[in-house]
Amino acid sequence: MPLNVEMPEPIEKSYWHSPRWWRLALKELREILRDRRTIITLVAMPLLIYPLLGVTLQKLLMAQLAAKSKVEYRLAFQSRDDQRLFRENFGHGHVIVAQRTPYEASNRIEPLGTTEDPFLEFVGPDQETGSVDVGTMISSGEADIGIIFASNAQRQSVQMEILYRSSSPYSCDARRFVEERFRAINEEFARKELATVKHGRLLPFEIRAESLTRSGKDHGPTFSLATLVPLILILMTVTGAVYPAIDLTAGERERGTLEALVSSPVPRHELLFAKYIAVVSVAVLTALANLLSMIATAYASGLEGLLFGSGGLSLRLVASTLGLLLIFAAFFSAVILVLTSFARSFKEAQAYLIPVMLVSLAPSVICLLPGIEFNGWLSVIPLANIVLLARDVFDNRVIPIWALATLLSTVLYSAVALSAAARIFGTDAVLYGSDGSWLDLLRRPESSRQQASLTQATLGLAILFPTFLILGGMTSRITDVSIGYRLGINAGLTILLFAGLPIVLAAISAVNFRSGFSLGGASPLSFVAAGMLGLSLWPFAYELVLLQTPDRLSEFVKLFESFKTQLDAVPLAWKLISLALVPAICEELFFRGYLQTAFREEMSTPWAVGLSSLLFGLFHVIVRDALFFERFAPTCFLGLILGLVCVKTGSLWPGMLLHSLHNGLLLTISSYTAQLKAMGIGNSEQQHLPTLWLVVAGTVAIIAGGLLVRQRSRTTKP
Amino acid sequence: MISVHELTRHFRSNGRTIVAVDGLSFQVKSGEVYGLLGPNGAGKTTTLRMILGLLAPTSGDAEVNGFRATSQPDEVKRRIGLVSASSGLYQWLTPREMLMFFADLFGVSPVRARSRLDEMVALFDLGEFIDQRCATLSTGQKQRVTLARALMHDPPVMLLDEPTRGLDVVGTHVVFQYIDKLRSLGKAVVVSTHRLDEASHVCDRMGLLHHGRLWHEGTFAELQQVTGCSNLFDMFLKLLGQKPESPAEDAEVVDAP
Repeated sequence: MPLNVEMPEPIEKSYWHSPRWWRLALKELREILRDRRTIITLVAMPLLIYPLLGVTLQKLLMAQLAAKSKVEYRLAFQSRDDQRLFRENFGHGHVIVAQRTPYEASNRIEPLGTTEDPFLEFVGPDQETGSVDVGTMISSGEADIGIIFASNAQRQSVQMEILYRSSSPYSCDARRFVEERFRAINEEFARKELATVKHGRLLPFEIRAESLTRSGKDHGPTFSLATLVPLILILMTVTGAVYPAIDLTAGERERGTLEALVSSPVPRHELLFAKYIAVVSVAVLTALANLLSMIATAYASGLEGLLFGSGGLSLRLVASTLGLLLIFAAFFSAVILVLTSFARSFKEAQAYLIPVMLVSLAPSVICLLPGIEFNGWLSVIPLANIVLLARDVFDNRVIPIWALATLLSTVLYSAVALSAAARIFGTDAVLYGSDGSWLDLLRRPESSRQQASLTQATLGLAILFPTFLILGGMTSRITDVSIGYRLGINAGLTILLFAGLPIVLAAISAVNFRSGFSLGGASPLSFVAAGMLGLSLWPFAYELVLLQTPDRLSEFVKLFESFKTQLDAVPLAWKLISLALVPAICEELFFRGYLQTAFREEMSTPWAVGLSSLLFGLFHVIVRDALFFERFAPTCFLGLILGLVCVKTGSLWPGMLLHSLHNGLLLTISSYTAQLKAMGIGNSEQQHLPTLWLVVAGTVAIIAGGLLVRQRSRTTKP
Repeated sequence: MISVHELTRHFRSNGRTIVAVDGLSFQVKSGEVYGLLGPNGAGKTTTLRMILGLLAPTSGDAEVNGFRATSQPDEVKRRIGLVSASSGLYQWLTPREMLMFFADLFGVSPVRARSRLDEMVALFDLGEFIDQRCATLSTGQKQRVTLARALMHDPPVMLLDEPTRGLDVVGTHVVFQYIDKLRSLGKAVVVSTHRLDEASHVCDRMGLLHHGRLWHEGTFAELQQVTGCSNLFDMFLKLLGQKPESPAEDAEVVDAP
């Protein structure tokens, strides 16, 4: 409050058309993109590096092939007849190719590094059985190419299919070598046909080449050049982000413009966010420039099969790669901004960055070793998860749950890093070198807070999510104990993560428990209304599940049935405690108590309730090692109701009652399905509830809602 | 316009507590130029940073146009123009882009910002180089851009931290003219400097700072009277002879109004 009676003069309002953070970001971008050093990283490096790498790689491959005294291709056939047909025609094609004129010969595709004709070794079919699985032989590397003939009597031609591995240069060369000779037969035939002007006949061979991947469970992932591509792109994105991050933070401080900037009435976190947008933009532009240059080089040097994995280069692959690089850029830019915001000079920033980059890149390189499988642990390790996901995208074998875990954890880590950077950027410790250190980030505040900040809430999520994924996965693998014990372990885990973690974080951050978790009392009417909602919401959750497609629903029902069969052996009381009461109390503490209360400090109530229920829904989608999106709609719906109850009553307790009753009722119903079936309910997976039930439940819910709305709101926005 | 109450700031260094500013109080009215004079390390810059809200005081507070620096720093910043010798320019932007950027930071509308830019171009003769990159400007040109930047949002209060440091005679003269202009515009101005010759030229009142404490305050004539010295240089020599622990001779201290 002003001390003087003199009133401040009115402040002129701004009438700019775009948001201020965007205008600030544009200024940062303008400045950084005019800097020649940025242009060198952004344009000159990709233009120089990839052609150079392409030529080097080509020479390397040629040298490798030349080092072999004699090229030898191993051919596999479906049958002895196929082998015979090949022998009869290959020689003819080979003679045609050999007799070509010099002009034609310039189009020949000789095996790299040698002009001598290669040996052809026939490795299949088996002499005894006379048959072989050609696809398996190619995938396993036993043969370089496989050839399958199929006569087409109707078309008076033979269909020839060549199977090969696009990731193996040797296999690609073998395919080209054989394919060229059979095409030569076709060309010879076509020439003769044209001479006689006899229409209607088709070419003797219809040739089709199919690339096979060498990955898969049978053989395990193997190393190929394609696995290096994402890492190279990530490294180049890093180089794009580093310079602007240093220049816009430590560089500004060194040049003396930072003081003028923070002397303006713009919040420091907004200034930092603008810088973050600029750094991410430059990093993504660098990634794009590198990707385009890499694609152009691969095309020009004929290495696209080697560099872009089994599926080859496609628009989908380019879009997925760019998407991953964007997420990586968002994460890495946030991390380096934490470091550079603390630095007082360019040199100091570099000194912080180099060791961190080396340490963080090490696990990523290790992840590219053959035999590393993407799993729950790796999906939450920063950087390594992106590298592995990129590898799987290139191999066209993405596992949805690990992809989701990678994306979610990376977004969370980015948010935490950005929040930390915002706390450091432009502080007097950095600006004037006064008494500040890294420990300031961890120091317990001297005065208590009414609720956790958005930063602390994000930190809680960033710790909870990977821990939940890893520990949840571990407990699901415990099979040598009874189901009762397993329920106990899960309940313990729920208490540890959803109650223990926020309580510890709140204690560290000096958050007042009563206000920070909305633990104040509520009126008796609030409990009555919450109880009514707890008893009446389950039919709607049930109906929301039925909105899924029949296939997914059937899968969901199977999972539910298998779980229910196991649970039949457990006493109902223990089920109610471990699966209804404990999760209800703990989840309310975390989602509505810790998160929603923190969100409400920074955003409007509808956004805070919406975001906390969205997160509540997302956490319920993860079931063991799989994703069940069927659970999203009902849990999100329940989360919304619980969030509103918490806001309206100003207390977490009615929500806990509602949540416990809802869970408990569903569990009790599942324990008495036989009796319900006798009443004609639950005979089919897609059986809707009787309309009367829905009307009754709806009426009860509306009355409960009315009771909540009518009573005086006991909460105010923090 | 500016009211400083018992402003104190401690720093920790190597386990020791250093008192940078110690219970400083003074006021500056609109249209008045107040000089904070003192040797290096006297606490002048720290005081200005606390008035601006960039540095939190250990105790005490500063008030600008009725807003407290500790509790309403954004409102305070909105009303202050800062000129600092250590301030730099954005090397890859032109003066026009930079001045418009700072106008935006301070919430000036685009139309008003363009009008202010024209005024600044006329006032500081920026026309010749307004669209050149800042990196290509001479020291004098850079100085004029820095002075213009602080005035873009037409603040009622100006803080000038060592504004003539590193400048030649011409540059110093430009600063003197600038301060005169600010006075004529009715702004409350605080100038921190250790250049005693210039202080007596431009300041209406002066505060002599030593070891973070205000030892004497008043007009030049009042300071001559209480110190018994005829010029600021002698006053300083006398001041530097004081022990840090001992306050000014009580009888001789001119109480802050």
